[in-house]
Amino acid sequence: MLELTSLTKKFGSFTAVDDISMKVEPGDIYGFLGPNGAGKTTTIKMIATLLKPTSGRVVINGIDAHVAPEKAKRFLSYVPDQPFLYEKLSGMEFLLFVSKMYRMNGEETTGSIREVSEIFEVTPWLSRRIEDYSQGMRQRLVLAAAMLHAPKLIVIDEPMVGLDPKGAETFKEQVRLAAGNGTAIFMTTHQLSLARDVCTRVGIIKSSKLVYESSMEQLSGDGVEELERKYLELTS
Amino acid sequence: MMIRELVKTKLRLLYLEGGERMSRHLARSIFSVVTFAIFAYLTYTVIEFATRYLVVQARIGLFLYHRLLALALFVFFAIISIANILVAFVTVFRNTEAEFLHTLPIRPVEIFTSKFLDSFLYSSALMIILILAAIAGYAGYFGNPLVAGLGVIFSILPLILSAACVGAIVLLLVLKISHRISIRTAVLGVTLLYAGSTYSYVMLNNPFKLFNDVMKYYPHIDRYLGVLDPKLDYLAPSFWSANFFYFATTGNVVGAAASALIVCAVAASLFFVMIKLADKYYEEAFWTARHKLFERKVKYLEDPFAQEGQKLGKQVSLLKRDFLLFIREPSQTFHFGVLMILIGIFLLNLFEMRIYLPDTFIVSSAFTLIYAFNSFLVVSLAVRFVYPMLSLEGETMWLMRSSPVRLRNVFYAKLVPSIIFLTVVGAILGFAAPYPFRNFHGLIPNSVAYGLAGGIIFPSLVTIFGGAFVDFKEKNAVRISSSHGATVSLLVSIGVMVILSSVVFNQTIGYFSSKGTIPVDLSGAWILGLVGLACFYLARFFGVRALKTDM
Repeated sequence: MLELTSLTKKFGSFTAVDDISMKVEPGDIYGFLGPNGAGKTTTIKMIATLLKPTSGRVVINGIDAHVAPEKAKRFLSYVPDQPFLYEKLSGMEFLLFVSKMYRMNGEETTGSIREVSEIFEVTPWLSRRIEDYSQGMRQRLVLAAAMLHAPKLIVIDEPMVGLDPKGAETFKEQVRLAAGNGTAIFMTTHQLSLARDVCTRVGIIKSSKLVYESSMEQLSGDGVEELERKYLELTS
Repeated sequence: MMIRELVKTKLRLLYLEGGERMSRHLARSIFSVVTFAIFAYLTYTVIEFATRYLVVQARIGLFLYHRLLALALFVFFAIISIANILVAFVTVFRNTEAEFLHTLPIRPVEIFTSKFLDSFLYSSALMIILILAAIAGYAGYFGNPLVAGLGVIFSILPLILSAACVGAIVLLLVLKISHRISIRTAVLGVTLLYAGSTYSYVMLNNPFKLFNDVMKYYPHIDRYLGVLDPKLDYLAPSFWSANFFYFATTGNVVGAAASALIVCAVAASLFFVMIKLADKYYEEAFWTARHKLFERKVKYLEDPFAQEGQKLGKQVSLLKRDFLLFIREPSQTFHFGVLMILIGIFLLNLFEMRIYLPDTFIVSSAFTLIYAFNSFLVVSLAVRFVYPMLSLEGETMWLMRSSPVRLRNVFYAKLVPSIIFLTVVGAILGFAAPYPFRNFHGLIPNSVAYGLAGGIIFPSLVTIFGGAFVDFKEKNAVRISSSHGATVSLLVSIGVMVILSSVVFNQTIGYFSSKGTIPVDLSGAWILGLVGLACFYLARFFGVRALKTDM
C-alpha cells in the first residue's frame, strides 16, 4: 500500500532523510520511531506530498505520489501533529467539507459522518464551532475526518496529542479495526507502549537513516522491553 | 468541481469572520461601517472638489485631467500588484490551510484559484472601496452616473483583477526561478523591476511636462491629444482604463467601448495566463516554498553559546527579540525594502524637482500634496509594520504573561522604536518637501515639525486600533496588516492626515502669497505635540489592555 524507495531529502548540504526504503502492506500498523530531529516529520511530509523528495519515490497504492499526487491522495488520510481546522466552521461543516474533497456522495457522506462521529464521540459537539472545542475534542474531530472516506492508507504524526485515556483507547481500537479491514497505517510516536499495543511492525530512524526494522512478533517477551532496549541502544 | 466547494467554504468563512464575542464584534462592526462610510464620503467630496477645481478653475482640460487619472490608476495598479504578491505568498504558499488542502485529493490549480480569490478579496477590499468612492466623486462632478457604473464594472474591476493577476504571476515565476537563483536575488530583482517601472512611468508621464505640452494646444485642450502619449503607455492597462472615462465623458461611445474591451481582454488574458501557469507550476512552486522554509529550519547557525556572555536587560532583550523576528521574516523585509526604495526614489525626485507656478493657490496645493504624500508614506509604514505588532505577540503570550515582565514594558519595546524610526523618516521627508519651491528655506522648519509630529501621531494611532482589534490567533504579519482593523486604522489615519494637510495648506498659502517674506507661523506646533502625546497615551491604554486580554 505504501512503498518508499531510496527516499532522500536534502536541504543544501544537510540531509534530513537519507535513502530510506520500506513497505507497509494492507493491514499493517507501522510505528515509525526515533528521537526528535531524526527525520520522522520530513519523511511523513514527503508521504503526504507536502515536501518533494530530492531523490527516491513514494508510492501509494501503486501510484507515485509526486507524479500523480491527486490520484494518490484519494487513498490517503494524513493527520499532522498540529492539524489545521477552520475555527469558524462547526464540526459538521468541517466533516462535510472534507467529504466533498474526497468526492463522497450525499448518502455515503451522511452515513459515514454519523458513524465516525459516534465512534470518536464528537456527535454532541458537531453543531458547535470548532473554536469552542478543547484540544482533545479537536484531535477526535481530526481523527474522525481521517476515517471518513475509508482510506487505504492513514499517515499519522503523533496521534495521541491531547487525547484523554478514553479517547486514546478509542483511537487504538479504531486503528486495529481499520487495519483489520485492510487499511495500512503509518504513524510516528514517542510512546513505545503505543507501538507495543497497536503496531504490527516498527522502524527506528536515527540521524536521517532507518537503522532498525522489525515485526512486533520478532521482538522477545511482551515486546515493549525489547523495543525500549533496542531504541535506547540505537538512539543514544 | 471541487473549486465550487472550496469557494463556498471560503465565502462562508468570510461571513463568519470574527464572530467570537457578539458585543465586541458588533461594536467593531459598527465602528468599521461608520469609518468606511465617512471615509468614502470624504473621498467622494475630495475627488468631486478636485475635479471641479482642475477642470473649472485651473482649466487644465479634459485630456490632461484624464492623463492625471491614468497616472493615479497606474500607482494603484502597482500598489495592488505588490500587495497581492505579499498576501498571495503567505496565503497561497505559506499557510496552514494551503498545507491542509494539499493533503486532500484536490487539483493544485483548484487550491491555487481558491486561495488566489481569498488573497485577492483580502488585500484589495480597501482599494475597491476607495476607488468606488473616487469614481462616485468623478460622476458627481460630470453628472454621469451611468458612466461611473459602467466604468466600475468594465474598467476599474478588470484593472484591479489584472493587477492581482500580475502579482500572482510574478510570484509564481519568482518561485519557479528560485531553483536556479537564490530567492533573495529573485526578490531583489522583482523589487528593482517594480521600482524601476514605477519610476520610468512617472518620468515618462511627467505631469509638469505634459501640462506644458497640452497648453500648446490651448484652447483645444479638451480634445483627444493622443499624439502626446508616449507609446509605452499603451502597455499599461491603467492607461486604457483612464481612456474609457475620457471617451465616455466626451460622448465617444466607440472609443469608450474599445477601451473597456481592451481592459477586460487584458484582465481575462492575465487571469487565463495565471491559471495556466498555476496549473503548470503551482505544485512545484509550493514544494519550492516549503523546501525553502524547511531549509531555513535546518540551516547551520553560529555557535549558540557565543552569545552566552551577553548580559542584556529585559528591555534590551525584548527589543532584540522583536528586531530579530522582524529581519528574519522575508515577507516583512521584502515589503520594508520596497517601501524604503520608493521613499528613496521620492526623495531624489523632490531634491531634483523644480515647481515654478504663478498661481499661489496651485503652489500651496502642490506643497500640501507633497506633504500629504509624505504623510501617506509614514501612514503606510505604520499600518504595515506597527499595526500587527500587538497581534504578533499572541504566539508568545503564554511566555510574557507567565514571566515577571511588566506588560507595559513589552508594549514600549514595540511602539517606542517604531516612533523613533518613523519620526526620523518623517523629518527627512519634511526636510525634502519644500525643495521643489522658490524660497523653500523658510518652509523647512514648519515642514520638519509636521514630519516629526506625523512620526509620533500615526504609529500611535494605528497602535490604538492594533490594540482594539487585536487578533492573537493570526500569526502572519501581512494578513494582520490587511485585516479589517488595519483597514479601519488606515482610514482613520488618512482622515487625520487630511486634517493636518488642510492646516499645512492654510499656513503656507500666506507664505507663498508674500513670496517668502512673511515666515510660516509655527506658534501652533505645540498643539501637534499635544495631539501626539494624547495618541501615544491612548495607544498605551489600548495596547496594554490588549496584552492583558484573557487567552
